[in-house]
Amino acid sequence: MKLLPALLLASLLVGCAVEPVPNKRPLTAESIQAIGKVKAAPAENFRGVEKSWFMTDSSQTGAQYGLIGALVSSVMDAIMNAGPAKRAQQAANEIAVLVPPEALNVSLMFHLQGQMPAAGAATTGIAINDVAMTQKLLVPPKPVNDVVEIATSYTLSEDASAFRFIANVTYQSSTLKYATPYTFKGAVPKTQLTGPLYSNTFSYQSAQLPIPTLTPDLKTRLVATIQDTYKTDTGAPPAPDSQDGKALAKELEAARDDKLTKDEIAIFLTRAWLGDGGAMLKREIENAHAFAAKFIVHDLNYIGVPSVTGKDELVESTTGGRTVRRVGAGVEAGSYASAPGDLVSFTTYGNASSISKASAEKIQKLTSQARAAAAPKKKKA
Amino acid sequence: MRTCLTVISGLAAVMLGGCATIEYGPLDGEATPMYGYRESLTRESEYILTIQALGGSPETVHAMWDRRARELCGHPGFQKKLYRAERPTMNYGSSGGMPGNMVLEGFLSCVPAATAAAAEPGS
Repeated sequence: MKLLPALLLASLLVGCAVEPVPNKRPLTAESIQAIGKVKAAPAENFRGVEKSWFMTDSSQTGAQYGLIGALVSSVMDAIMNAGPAKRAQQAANEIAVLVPPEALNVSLMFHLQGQMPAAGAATTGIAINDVAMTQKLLVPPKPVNDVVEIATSYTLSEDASAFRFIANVTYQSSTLKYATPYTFKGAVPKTQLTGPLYSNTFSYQSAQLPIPTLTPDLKTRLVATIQDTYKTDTGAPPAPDSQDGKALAKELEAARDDKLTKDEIAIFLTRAWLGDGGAMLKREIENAHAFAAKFIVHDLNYIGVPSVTGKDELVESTTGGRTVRRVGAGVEAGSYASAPGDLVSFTTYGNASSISKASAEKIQKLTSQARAAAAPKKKKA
Repeated sequence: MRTCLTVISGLAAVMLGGCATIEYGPLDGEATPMYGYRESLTRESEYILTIQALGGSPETVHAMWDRRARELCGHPGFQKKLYRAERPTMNYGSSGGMPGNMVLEGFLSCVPAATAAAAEPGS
């Protein structure tokens, strides 16, 4: 009698154990031959350079103490998160003025076009013969057949000491069907039976900015910046007993201690990126796009099948110690990562990110337009 | 009484043994290292070396990477190309998170820089 529940439990647990395989879907020599020339279609980026930050969430801890506990923890979280969230958006706003999303899109297009062979030139394997930006907010975000689709994200680290670019690339064919190159002990999982013919990820990590040391002058500037963050539209500080007032008091207390938190460091380093008209950030974005464009074409023609237990491979090493490697193990195996050589500090990207006010408004406007355009179709159906 | 003491000391030994930590050691060893290392040989005299720290300072993590590199190579003239210095966020629950442990990873070549330069064609 006891055997039945045990067997049921065992079967349930076995059902949960999915063998991990790399996210990468490599092309085969045959599919490369069949695809030949292809159009690259990067999705228009509307979010711009995002500023990551660490969001405190004590809801689970608070919930242990019932409704009162949940309410208290949510108020505490709101006070704790108010400042970092505001400053992250402020940083994103400042960046968007000098490096708007449109500039990111233009730069990526330029670098992808740079990979196009000269007119009439003989090509082997897959070559990009056209580049066209696609708008994924107004059209249903479904994969488009027979184009190399590229989705991008740009993020400043928590302390703003580093910048990260990620490109997710997919190719879905109207004629060729994906056949998983990975082997499974049992049946092939459903996730490996459908989806794109090719997919991979390309990430670029910028050089690290040195972390500033806390001096009396820096502390004064930090306090002034925090006070500025909380000023109302009229320029007045918030009422001391308001939620903003309490959050300001808490942050000022933290700013006056002798420790620089990542969030506080970010105030200064964001401005370092934006010095000289944002030259340093623009340069890293150009480098990131050049890396992505080059290795997307390279990888579309690379038939190696990664393994979750493989080893990292050094693909390129440049002056200054920067390396491009093909990740060797885990679900990220087969993806490409470009990293600087002179790593000193340890970078974190928090668990939340903020975009500029202008980007948020534009996304909201376009999303409402898309919904409005889709509404009559639904009525007809 | 003596039996009781033996049982208690035995239990204490088991409990303490379960959470034995050491300052430095392999990540897949029996004890949990404060600064754990793991390496894989990619070709002769070349490795991918990783240090994972449970705490400490960034400088010490770098020092531990160099320490393991010296142990593997048997000399301090190794070449390194670090490519990963991160504190990935550890997520829990629906949206909670906390800063994770420091991870330092890179390529290690035991061939001294001068020897490698001399071996290159044209030099």
